[in-house]
Amino acid sequence: MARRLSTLYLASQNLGRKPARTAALGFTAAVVAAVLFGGTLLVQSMQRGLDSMAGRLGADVLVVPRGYEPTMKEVLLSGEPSTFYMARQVLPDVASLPGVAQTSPQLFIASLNAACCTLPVQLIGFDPASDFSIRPWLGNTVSRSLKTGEIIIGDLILAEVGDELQFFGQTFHVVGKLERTGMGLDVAVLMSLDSAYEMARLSESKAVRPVGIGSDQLSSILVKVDPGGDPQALSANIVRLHPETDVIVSSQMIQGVADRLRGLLPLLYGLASLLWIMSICVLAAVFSMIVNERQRELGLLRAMGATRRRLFALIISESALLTGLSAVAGILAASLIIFPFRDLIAGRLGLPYLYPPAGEIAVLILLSLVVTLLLGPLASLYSAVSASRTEPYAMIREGE
Amino acid sequence: MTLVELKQVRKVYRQGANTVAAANGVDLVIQPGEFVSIVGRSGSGKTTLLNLIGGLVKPTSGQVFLQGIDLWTLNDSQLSAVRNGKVGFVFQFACLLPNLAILDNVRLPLFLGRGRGDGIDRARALLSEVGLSAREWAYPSQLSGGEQRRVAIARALMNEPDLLLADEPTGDLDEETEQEVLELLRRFNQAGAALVMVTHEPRIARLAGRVLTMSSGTLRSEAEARLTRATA
Repeated sequence: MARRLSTLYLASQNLGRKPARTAALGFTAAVVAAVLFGGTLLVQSMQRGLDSMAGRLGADVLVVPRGYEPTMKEVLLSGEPSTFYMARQVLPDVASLPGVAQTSPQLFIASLNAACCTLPVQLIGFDPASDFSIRPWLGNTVSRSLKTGEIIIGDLILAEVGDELQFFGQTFHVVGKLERTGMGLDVAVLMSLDSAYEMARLSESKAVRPVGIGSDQLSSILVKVDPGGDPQALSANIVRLHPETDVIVSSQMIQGVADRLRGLLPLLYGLASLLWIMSICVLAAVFSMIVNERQRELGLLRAMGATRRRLFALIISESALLTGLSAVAGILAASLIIFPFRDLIAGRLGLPYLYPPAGEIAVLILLSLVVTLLLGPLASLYSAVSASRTEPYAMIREGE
Repeated sequence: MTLVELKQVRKVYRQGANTVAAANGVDLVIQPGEFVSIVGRSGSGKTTLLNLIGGLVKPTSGQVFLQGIDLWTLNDSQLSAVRNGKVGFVFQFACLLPNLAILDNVRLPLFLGRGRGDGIDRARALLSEVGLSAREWAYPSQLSGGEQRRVAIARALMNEPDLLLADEPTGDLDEETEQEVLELLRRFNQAGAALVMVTHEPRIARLAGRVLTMSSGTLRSEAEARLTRATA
């Protein structure tokens, strides 16, 4: 069946003439698209995760047992399960310090293997009455206080509301699921502090390995500083009062992560720009070669009545078609790695990781497409202008 | 109306520090439906003359008229339209687009001129006339030299040109194929299109109604050329 001739059809036929060369050029452009799209999405997701954490962490200062500062950071950022504790007496002492606006205790317990998860998860006991850290993540999932035996699970825990999960020989009812946080909370299980103490108590008789924490112990104290207060000065006071503790100033922690991220950005954009420029050079050289070896054909097209503009359009269409299709392939390839392996990437990064909304991803796809597609027309511009300016018979003769 | 008129046309090429006049003050008139052949030695300027007639080469000086239109006063778009609609070229080599099937090669001029329709019926009719209707989906590499040349002739006739320009159309063909191609060209000439053919073979040139000789950029009639040779 004969199809209507068009510039695009001629361009596609030309590209099909040397499949190996077309594939090699296409691969170059696809790599540019994949790096642009994949890299930017990765960094944007980390930035978004970080912004989300900064906005919703709530606590200005976190008090943990001495030596557990790195562990606490791992719990917060990647949900690495840990059990650590200190004397509960630290709580009223910290609460009574000048400059403290609010305190809320939490208990961290690493579970044994549970039905939901092939690996231990982080169980977090929090005090619903004083909490200001977990509540913002709950959204509308649970509007009432948690009862004993009820749990809220992180977004990545493989269970649903209404399910029952076993921890330390006891059954818990899932009453809510958190929104995606991009942080350790995604792989954590939350219960009230009372539930956690009860679980710890009953684990002595019901669990293979008891929790080993009493109700006179807790893992961390989240502290909100008075408006205008100095978290640094407060942390010094806390350590002076309780030398067996470490204090994390959250702004410093987030700053540290943000600095790491900021360090990645120039590297990524530098790499993408370098790739883009290199691709332009490679494509320009190859397109110049292609146009040269087709001088006779191009001259013949002019002899048959193709205008300069038509010839220019044909060369540009060919390169744009190549880089356009390669851009789609590159973005598709990056998507096939980034989206299905989100959790693996987040785990490897050890950083908060939240994808931008679909609209922003669509804009990013569009931008990556356009920037990569432009490679072709820009690379072939010189050859196209030069060919369209040459006298038809000169082209035919040069091609002989 | 006169089909082609060249007035004092000169075409000078630069070759390093030297200049070569491939056409040196050529005057020529070709009437509609005429069959003119141009003979001459290699490098005499006959191909340049053919390209000057077809508007493929811009003269250094002088004027080229096609159906009364001074070609080099036209802009690129207008000149391209003239080449597309009024002139058909058959080059020394078939020069088919290797990635297009024969049918697509033949209808290419229609697409380039933004003609109406897809041109399939006309292209098929032309392929049938040149005896290649069974091979419309073959690619140039699958055809013999003679078949390729026949496709090139069909393509040159796609837009029903008033003038067919053929540059050594049988140059690399065996005798039998040469006869087939010449017969085709003559048939289309008899159907109404003027034919200007460049050749270095006097035997082939004599098939034309008028034979012109090109020598060092100067054009003479065969009689003039004979006289010059006799007095030399």
